[in-house]
Amino acid sequence: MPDDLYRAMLRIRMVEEEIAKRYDEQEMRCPVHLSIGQEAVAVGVCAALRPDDLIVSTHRCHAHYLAKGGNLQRMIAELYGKAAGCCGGRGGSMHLFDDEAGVLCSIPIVASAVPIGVGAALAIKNTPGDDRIVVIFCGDAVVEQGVFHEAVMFARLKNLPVVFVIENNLYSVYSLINDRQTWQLIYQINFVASRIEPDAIKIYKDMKRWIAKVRETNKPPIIVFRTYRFHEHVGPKQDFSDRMGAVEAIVNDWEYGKSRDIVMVSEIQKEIDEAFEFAKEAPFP
Amino acid sequence: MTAMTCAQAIEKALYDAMKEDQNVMVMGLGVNDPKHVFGTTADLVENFGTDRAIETPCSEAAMTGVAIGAALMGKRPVLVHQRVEFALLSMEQIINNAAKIDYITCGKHSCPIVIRLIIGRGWGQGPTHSQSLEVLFAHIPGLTVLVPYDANSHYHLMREAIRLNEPVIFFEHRWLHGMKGKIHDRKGEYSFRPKVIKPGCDITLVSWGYGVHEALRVATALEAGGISVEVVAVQSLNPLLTGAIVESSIKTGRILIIETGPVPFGISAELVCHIARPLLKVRRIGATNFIPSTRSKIEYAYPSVHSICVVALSMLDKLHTVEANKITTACHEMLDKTPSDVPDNSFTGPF
Repeated sequence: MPDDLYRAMLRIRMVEEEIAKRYDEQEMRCPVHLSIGQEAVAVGVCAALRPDDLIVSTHRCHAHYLAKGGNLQRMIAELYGKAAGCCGGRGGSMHLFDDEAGVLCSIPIVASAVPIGVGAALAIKNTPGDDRIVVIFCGDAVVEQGVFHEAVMFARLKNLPVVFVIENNLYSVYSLINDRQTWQLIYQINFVASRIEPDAIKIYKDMKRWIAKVRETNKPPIIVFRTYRFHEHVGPKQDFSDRMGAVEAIVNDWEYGKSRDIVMVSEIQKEIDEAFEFAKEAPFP
Repeated sequence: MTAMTCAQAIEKALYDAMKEDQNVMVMGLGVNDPKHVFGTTADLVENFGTDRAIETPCSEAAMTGVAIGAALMGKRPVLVHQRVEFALLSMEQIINNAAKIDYITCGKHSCPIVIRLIIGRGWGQGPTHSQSLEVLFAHIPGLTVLVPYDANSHYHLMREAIRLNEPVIFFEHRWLHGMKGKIHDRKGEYSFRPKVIKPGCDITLVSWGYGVHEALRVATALEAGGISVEVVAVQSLNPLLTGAIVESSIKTGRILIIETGPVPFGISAELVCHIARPLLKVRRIGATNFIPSTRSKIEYAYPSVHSICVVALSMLDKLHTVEANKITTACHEMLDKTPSDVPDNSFTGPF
């Protein structure tokens, strides 16, 4: 895997693990929805975007925010509820945004950010000379919400420069996808879906293809990536469940990191430690 | 200016705003159809094209989100629903997103959208096409709620609504659309304060929207019996500016508030609170408008035992007394070292 993609994934993994480790200190007093296990999608997708392209995300926004270039210190400060946080402490983990990095907004209510991303794409389309793309990150439960379908249809009707990226991690809190959806729903004919393993290079190459197509045709695809989260829906604890027998192959790929490239690990850890120090020292609003 | 109907006044306001600012856009079901939302969007698509006058699908929630997303990027969308009830499908977007964006981002993002809602009445509209529901929106911090009552206020409040960088809910009424009035030239900002549109001294009638015309007819009828009636037209429900109303209540001593919807928990309840405040020892205390995530502000976000006691003491004229000190001590003893962001010490997160 190219070093920069690997480094981006490792960095996200290490940030999330640090959050999980320090959560017991009771200084990050907000719900945290960790992206451990889902790094490849965030990194592969964002690597295919320009810095000025936009993304919108959900409550599980840490990986998307970091992969897109969101400021780490402002993210950790936000978790600590400090004024230096990206939302000045008002939003917490679920509302991360960074205008300079093109992270337009993260909205925790499932599907709530989807039409907002479509609206941003509408504004882009109606601005001469603006050829940015909007990527809308969603979870698998998004297809259970009506507004998702409304927004997709509108984006297609108006040929908007938007890509819908669904991360299917099989679970909605504790509820398995088979108990929530007719399986075919996520692969409906109107959806252009790809079942892709969580491999950042493959995702990156695929996304490059899709995004070039969108910039050319303005026909918004829905791309479904299969992935998995290793921690509970919200909180620092691990919550490993393989009821579908689908995860073992993925798990082995995810044990990278600690034994590889000690220099890279220590550089990243230094950056992370500095960010946590910054957050701890920063004043409250 | 010549007299025109309230519908024409809205159309003129939209046209003038769209002419002045390229970023203004109008969207909704019926915007470009032959009826043009009761004439209020006539000629917009011909003059400004389909990118700025958008006929939308029947997807109220998504269209509201789309308007918000476009607003985040610098557009100034005016979204219209032909009935108040259609907006109910989009309440999540309005309350959780439109009303909160400015707060959550510390003002870095704003949401300059206008949502036009039309109150239905008559011609068999029935229970789900004739509700007012202003109070639902007026209660939400972060929303500006405007209620024009004549052609002039329809024009100027719409221009203001579009100019504001905040989300505005703009209430219209089917029975006002056809009502004619003169539009006056505006010098500077149009004030949201209530207007004493008819001075009097025996009794004050207060209303908004279509209720204002009802009030004027009542005034005429009462005058036939020699009663002098003062009529006050409220133009903004949020912010609710009550100065003129309280003054009038002192002047006449009698206030009759006319709601367009059912009375319980209506706008009149809030007005009565303001009118009664100088006269009775009735106070209210509650949470702040927006609850921050950070724990450093949380203790001020909700009323506490101590802050409630302070209000009680002020009502008893016992602030800054020896008893007040004792009570403060009692409050502090009651707090058992529990941080302000948990119900008790056993709670450690995460949800």
